[in-house]
Amino acid sequence: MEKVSRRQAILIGSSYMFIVTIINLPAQVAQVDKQGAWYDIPTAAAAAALSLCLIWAVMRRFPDQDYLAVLVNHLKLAGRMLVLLYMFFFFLISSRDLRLLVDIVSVSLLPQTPTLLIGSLVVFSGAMAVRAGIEVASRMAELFYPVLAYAVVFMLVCLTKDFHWDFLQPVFENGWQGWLRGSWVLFGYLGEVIVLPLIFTDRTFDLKRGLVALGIGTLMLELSFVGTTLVLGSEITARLMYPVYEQVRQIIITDFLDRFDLFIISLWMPMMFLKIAFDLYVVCHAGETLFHRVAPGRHLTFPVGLLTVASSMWLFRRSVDVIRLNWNWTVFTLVFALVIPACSLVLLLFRRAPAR
Amino acid sequence: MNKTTRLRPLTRRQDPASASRSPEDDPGKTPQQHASQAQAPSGQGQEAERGAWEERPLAPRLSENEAALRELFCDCSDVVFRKVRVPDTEWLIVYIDGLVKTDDLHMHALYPLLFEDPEHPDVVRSLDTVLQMGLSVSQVLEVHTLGEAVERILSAHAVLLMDGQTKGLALNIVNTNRRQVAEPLSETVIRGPREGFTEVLRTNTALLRQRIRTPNLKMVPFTIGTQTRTQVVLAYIEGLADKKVIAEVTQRLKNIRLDAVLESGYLEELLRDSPRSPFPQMQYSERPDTVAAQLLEGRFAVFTDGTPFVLTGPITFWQMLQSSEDYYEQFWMSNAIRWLRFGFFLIALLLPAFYIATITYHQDMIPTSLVLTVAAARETIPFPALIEALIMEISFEALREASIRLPRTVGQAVSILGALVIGQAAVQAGIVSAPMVIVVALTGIASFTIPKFNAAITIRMLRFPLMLLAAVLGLFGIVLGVFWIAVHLCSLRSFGVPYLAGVAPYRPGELKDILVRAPWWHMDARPWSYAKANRRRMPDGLRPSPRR
Repeated sequence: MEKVSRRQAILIGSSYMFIVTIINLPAQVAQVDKQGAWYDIPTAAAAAALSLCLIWAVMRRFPDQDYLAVLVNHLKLAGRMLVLLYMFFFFLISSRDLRLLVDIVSVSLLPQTPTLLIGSLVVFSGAMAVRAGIEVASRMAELFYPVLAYAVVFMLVCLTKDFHWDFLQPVFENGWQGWLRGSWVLFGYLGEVIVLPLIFTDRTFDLKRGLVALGIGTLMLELSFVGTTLVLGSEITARLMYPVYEQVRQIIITDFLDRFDLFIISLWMPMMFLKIAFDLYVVCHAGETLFHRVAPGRHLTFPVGLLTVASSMWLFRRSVDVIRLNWNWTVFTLVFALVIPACSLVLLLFRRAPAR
Repeated sequence: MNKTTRLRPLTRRQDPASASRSPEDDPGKTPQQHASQAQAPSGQGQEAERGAWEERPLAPRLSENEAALRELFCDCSDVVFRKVRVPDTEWLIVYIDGLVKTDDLHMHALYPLLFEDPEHPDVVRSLDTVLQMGLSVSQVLEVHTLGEAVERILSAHAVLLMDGQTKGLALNIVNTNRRQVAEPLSETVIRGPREGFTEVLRTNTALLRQRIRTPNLKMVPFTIGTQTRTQVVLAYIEGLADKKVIAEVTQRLKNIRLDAVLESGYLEELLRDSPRSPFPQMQYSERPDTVAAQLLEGRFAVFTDGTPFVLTGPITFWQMLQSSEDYYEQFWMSNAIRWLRFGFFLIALLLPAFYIATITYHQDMIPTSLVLTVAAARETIPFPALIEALIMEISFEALREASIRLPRTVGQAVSILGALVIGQAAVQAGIVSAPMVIVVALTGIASFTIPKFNAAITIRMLRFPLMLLAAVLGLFGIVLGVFWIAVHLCSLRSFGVPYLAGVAPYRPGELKDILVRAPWWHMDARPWSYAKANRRRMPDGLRPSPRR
């Protein structure tokens, strides 16, 4: 049984939403809704909150079981098929995340190092964290996430003098369409907060904590997206590959201290390793839920990791492929975050496990 | 005719089993193997023989006991046998010269036996009367077996045997002529007590008793080491320490089967949760105030006879960066110094790797004026940054190690020579660059700010793999290395307590003594990780608010 505290679960959930979203999405949101990211994010977060409510409505009927265990134990064959789909979904997420990280490292740090080597090292690190146990990975999140959060706040404080508040005007420039399209692309990433009920039982996760995680992640995203808009403006943001990275490059404290981009990336990378580690953990946990008599979850870690490296290179030949996928990715997230939980709630409406 | 019971031989050369075994009896072995076997009897045989005489009760006849003891202490020139004949009976005193205070022995044991007190004429006629009225020694124990008598003799007691008695008396008249209590050499402070532990176990436990004056301070004795029979004491405060932890450490101490324990480090390696981890999982200290503070937070201490270094546990990583002086100075100053230590800890671990990474891969991270200066300094250096760093770091480590081993009179000269050679001559010869010398010097100074020596060694060792990673993968390699170290730290435990407890897992009450040292009026609770049973340290409302 996992021994993850509720605070650690909150940090995991909020980091899940925040860490990958700030890579490319500010540019894509700026493309469709210009300076409207500040109201697109809460809209997408509201939809993610709905998915948490649906899943919690199912879980509260079955104490001491995470959502995957509920599906397997109470929906039998259909449940197993659904868990297999969740396994595949998070496997795709891990591949996507790995590809994004490898691209950033290759572009900003190691342009001449083979991407396969970078990807392998990242997955090896993540697999190490997972094999040590979810408890260890959760502690690492507790160690690194606050450091990153303080770094984000520090970054904004340093850039305050470069804010152009008129960059946020006009509001609703692209109307309802822009708002919905911006929220659409954001929900594809914010919906990943459903990871919490997939791996934790009601002893660690409940609706309140899930919403707190969602709130913290939303706040961090607001700070990042709005900060990028205020510093760079929506026009430039929409044309950049890594807008937040460019935003950090604007930090100048004195003539001497003006190179913080790689330093901030160094603080962000461990959390990215952990995100991939948690992706692997979800896949292995789903595999163990399905095939617990065949293979303990931790034995699947390195094989799944190797598969993740291969699929990240094979599915996404270029980093642009990931960006293109973001427009359609939300369909997957809608299915796994809203449709399946809603259907499972209907099917399990009149079933309840014995009291704890 | 007196019959003397002959014991089975105990020494190697008298061992009949080994003496009778020859190569012809066991043709499967080479002569060398037979010789080595004859030289080194098996541990099991030795143990069995030891057990045989250990349990043997003292004989009523004094001559038998004397013969047995003389046989056991054959060829031990420091063991003294003093026979005293008084009317109607005989006494034997056995002790080890040098361990026993002979003046006290003469005055308080021999004198009463030799010279009859006219007021108590029959005192020396029985052991009990001698014990009650004859001996003016504060601590006297009874021994009933040969093993007990031998153990007491080896523990600096004088054993008194009487003809016709099946028990003896062990007089505790230890020679206290040992190293005096002095300031500890390994942990010096500007403000704080100047007493340090010594090699004598009882002196050390007494120093602790002087600081913790409660009967709840328990001292559980152990004897560890089949040859050295080293006295070990487990100290803890009942009601504060976690019972499960005490039970666990007690069991681990009982499970230790060494032949010798010469220093607490022997025990430390056998008590750790993760023996292969480079990070220390028990702390050692020479300072009684430090050990007392650890006990008052719910930890335990292990005293080992023969060494001034006392082990304490469970510990966390954050203790490696704490000094006893943090609690004696004002909290503002303590916090500033503590934050300095945190910063220098990162410098000690990461600065050389960061320098290599930026010089080799990420020159754009360095401000332009600085990178031009560094580039100019490195222009004539034939080695890459990694080799340069390794040359300097290894030389520095060698110099540091040499300065520890050398006598004090020569050590200073070596330090100066090393500084001149490494600092000046190497730069002028074009082997290393001046920035590298500065980096290595700063790293060395940073490692000296870490209060705990065992943690400083760990950081120094971890620097090298990080340098290699930086040379191969730049900043990405440093992040990988730090991530792997973090995985290890997060998975480490010290007697069940997570190694990063306080931060990961987050415990707000413990943060008062991790990143900062809160004022004393705020530190009203003991750390939850160690003292779950009794967390309250002081009542509320202690903050000073004097009337104006």
